Amino acid sequence: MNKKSLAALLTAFVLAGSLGTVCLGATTETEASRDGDVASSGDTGITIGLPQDLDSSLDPYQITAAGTREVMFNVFEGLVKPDKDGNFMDAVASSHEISDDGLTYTFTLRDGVKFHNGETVTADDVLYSFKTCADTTVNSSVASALSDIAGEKADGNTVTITLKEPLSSFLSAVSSVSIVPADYTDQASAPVGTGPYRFVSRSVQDNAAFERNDDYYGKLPQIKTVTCKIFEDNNALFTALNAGALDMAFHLTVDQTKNLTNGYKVTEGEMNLVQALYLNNAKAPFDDEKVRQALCYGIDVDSILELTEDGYGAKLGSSMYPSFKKYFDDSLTDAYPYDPEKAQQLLADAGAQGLSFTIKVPGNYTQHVDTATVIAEQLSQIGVTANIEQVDWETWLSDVYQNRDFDATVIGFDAAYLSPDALLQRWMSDDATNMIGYSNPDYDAVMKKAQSTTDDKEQTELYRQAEKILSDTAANVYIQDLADFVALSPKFTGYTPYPLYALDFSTLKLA
Amino acid sequence: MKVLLRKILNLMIALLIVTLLTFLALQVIPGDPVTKMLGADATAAQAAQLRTRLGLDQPVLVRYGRWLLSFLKGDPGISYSYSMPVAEMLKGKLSVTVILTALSFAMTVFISIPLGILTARAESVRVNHFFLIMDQLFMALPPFFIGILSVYLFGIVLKLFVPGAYIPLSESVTGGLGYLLLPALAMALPRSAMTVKMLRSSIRSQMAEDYVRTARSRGLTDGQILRRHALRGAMVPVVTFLAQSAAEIMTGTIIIEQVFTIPGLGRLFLSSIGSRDFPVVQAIVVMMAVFIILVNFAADLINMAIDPRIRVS
Repeated sequence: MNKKSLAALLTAFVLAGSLGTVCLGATTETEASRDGDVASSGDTGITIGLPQDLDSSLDPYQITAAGTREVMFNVFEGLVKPDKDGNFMDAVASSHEISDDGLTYTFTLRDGVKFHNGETVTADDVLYSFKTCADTTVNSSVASALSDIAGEKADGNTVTITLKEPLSSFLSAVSSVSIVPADYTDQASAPVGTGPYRFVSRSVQDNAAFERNDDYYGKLPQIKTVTCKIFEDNNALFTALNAGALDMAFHLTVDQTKNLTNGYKVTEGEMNLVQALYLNNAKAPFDDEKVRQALCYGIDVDSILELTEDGYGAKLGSSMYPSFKKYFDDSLTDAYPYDPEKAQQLLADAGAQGLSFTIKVPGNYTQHVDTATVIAEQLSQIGVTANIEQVDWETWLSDVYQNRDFDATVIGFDAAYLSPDALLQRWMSDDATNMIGYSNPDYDAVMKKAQSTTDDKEQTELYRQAEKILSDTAANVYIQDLADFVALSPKFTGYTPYPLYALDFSTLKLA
Repeated sequence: MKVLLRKILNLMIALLIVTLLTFLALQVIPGDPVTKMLGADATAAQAAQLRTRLGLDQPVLVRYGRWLLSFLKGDPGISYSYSMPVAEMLKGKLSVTVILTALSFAMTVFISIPLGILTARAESVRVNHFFLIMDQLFMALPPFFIGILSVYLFGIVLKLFVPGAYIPLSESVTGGLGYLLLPALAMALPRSAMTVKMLRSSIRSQMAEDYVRTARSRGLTDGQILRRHALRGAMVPVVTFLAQSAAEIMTGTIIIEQVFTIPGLGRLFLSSIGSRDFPVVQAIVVMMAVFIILVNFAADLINMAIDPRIRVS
């Protein structure tokens, strides 16, 4: 072969390679571009950055990640839905009534509510939704609330649900039962709900597109299209935000907001998480209440807030965060003032001087790793050695959460639905998600009573009592509800924070 | 023909070993795809049901065998974490990564070959030193570092591009290629520096050969000798090295795609390992392995064409 044919061969190689890929690129990306066109030709569009990809399944009953739930909040609605103050307002139902004994719930369906596929919502769809949700949901608290249903019946456009026993959090469970069209089986990839936005498309690890539901029964949102850009790396998200590629971003850290130089408006809020040093109550040394209390005294929460969050964030004191205004007990935040001597005394009483244990913490959550680091440093002052072991998220889930093979961990729990049960029920001794193996008959009794009481005032009191028990027995070392920052381009206004994971697109509008 | 058959057989064996190792590696690390799919609070019954549906309740070797069979039939399976066919998921990502690799490889070739020849012929000590220093510098810079620097410099300070706003080629060919330019360059620079060094020393050793002296005595200039004879010989080790570079660039996209937030195979690969999404990991590993083996095979063929004495063994 001479030089010329060699050159020809080489060129052919390169050309064949690049042509092939260009064609491939063109054919496979067409769908995405069509969606892109919809997004750019609409009246108003907004681009929002998400710090992680949406769940594999967008079926409302299969959603596991809070980050997916907060986006799909715009697509799905229950008979009732939470508003920004944590109250329940009627959604697919136009009114609801609860009988005095707390056993019968009557919902009247709103006239002419349409699914995103154009069909009208019927009572059959509602019954189907309740049944499917009860059978398949991966949200254990919703499943347990729905198992209390004794009977459901539909009569015209009225749906009546009777319970076996009164359950105070039932309405929150109702709000979690997204109303979906009966016998529609493509929810996982092409979700259909009744919310103010309909799902248009998604591209794995790249974007998800939503469009205003022009048939929406309520007030029509101003923004026509919402494009969520997915960044699995928080730094990349921040870079894109600061460069103006995004109109809005959530869950920013203090450091990021300080480095933001593009003039975006930053709103401070809380993440609605209970971050704590969770202790394995079922295992020595933390089966001893004294040792747990010693750690509470030996950890300076104020200085953790100062060091990890620049003083932002909110102290907790128990398994409840401040956005749940009604149930949050401020006095518990100072139940264990920083007192290293008392801590050492308690350790001596328990015969646990020179205590050494391991904190397993998921390395992908910087905020938890930071907190663990400060805790370990503080504990070394009282002669306690805390070794930090960073694990990846999957390992954390299987080792810590499921197999309960750990001494201590730093993590945050959020409320999967708007009820104190979502945060408190898991510490009942027989609860399957009681990761720390907390077992306290008093706590169980108070919680059972709270869940079955219909009197609102009494119930609130009981939940607060339950929180106090957690604090008194030092179930965990409660740290903080982390600060959460939202940045919004000056082109837009109307960001509305919720007391649970929800990013409401519908209140956004042009400034 | 025999050579080709032997090559294909080798490819098969290599793939079998690579996939088995990947498979075993994913069994050894803790974590469970089912937890990822159902969330932490699913009941044991739900988990068991899904496990059966995915075939995860079978012994390891049975699962590997099943995967291998369906893969050989052309079906790489369904992604655990995205519940969609792996083939469909990879299509869009593959083109991005292949274009990025091709772009970066083309840059490497077009930068290093002229520069290699130029520096080989440079006689001034100063110029030589300058090239040597530049060479060392660029060889020492890892692509991700060049990447981070250029995101900062061109993206944030000079605002020449918007970091994180990758434009699909189907929307705008110039915009898409423009976005890929910097990441391609970040990978090409260190590889080019290495290739330049290699080509220079290869040319110099050729120019010291006896046949060159003979050619000089026939009155040919060094330039003529280089073009007509020496370059051809000097290219043999360089082609092999370039094949290696193509493979390195392909695997390098895993990191550079993170740095520039490009929705390609590399990012998918990393996150799939994180979520223990075995079918996706396996499919990407196979593609990378095939690419590496094919590139090396192509290098062998080219070398045979350059130097007829070389026979593929």
